[in-house]
Amino acid sequence: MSDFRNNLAKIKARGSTKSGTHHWWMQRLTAITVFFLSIYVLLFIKSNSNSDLTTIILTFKKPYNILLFALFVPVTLYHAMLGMKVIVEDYVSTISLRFTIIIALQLLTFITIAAFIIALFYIMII
Amino acid sequence: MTNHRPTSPHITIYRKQISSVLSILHRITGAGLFITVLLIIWNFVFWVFNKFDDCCLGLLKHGLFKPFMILVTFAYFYHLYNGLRHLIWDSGRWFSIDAINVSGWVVVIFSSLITILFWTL
Repeated sequence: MSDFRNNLAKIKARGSTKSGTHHWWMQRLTAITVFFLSIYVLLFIKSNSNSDLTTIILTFKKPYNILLFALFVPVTLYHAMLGMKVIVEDYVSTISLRFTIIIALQLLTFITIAAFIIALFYIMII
Repeated sequence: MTNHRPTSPHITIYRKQISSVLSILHRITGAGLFITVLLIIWNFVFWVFNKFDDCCLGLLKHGLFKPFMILVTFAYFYHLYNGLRHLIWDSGRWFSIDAINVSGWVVVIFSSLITILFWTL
């Protein structure tokens, strides 16, 4: 049973997406940024893989480490969110469900970033 | 309004090619890495807020987790190098069939090599 709406009316009613290129460009920009930051993260993991816990914490507390991880996590999760948005848009047909899932994922990502930043503060003061 | 009419077969009958397989693998590794990064970050957050209780961090070094971590690193390197391939396409290069096939195999072989190197060096 169709909803008897004119296709043009449906398209117009959905409203403007403002700019399609923003998503595309931010995906590429964050990809390159994550590439460089993750080189550092991988080196950090590799060089600390055999250290004991206190050494790892002491190394992590250095300001350059804190900064680089504070940059790495939000940018990576932002890049991931851009990708997940496209995946959900591709596979979920119902508009209301798609809308809800995308907002829920964005909320989850945002909360994760906030929790990580607070954990970094916690590490700094301990 | 869900459509219950049958559709003609597509992915079940079409031969898998390097282009299509790598494309869907890029998406799958991306989604998988998203979930993995979320898990690792929350693991880290709970570790910090539990006064650095060693319980969960040690889990990552456990023998049973190693294959999973190897898979995660392969997913990361594969997504990285296929992503570079996407960026090369964005610059307008390497769109010919031969270039796509060759670059596809290069990505798979190179990411496997780097994964092995990462874990053995």
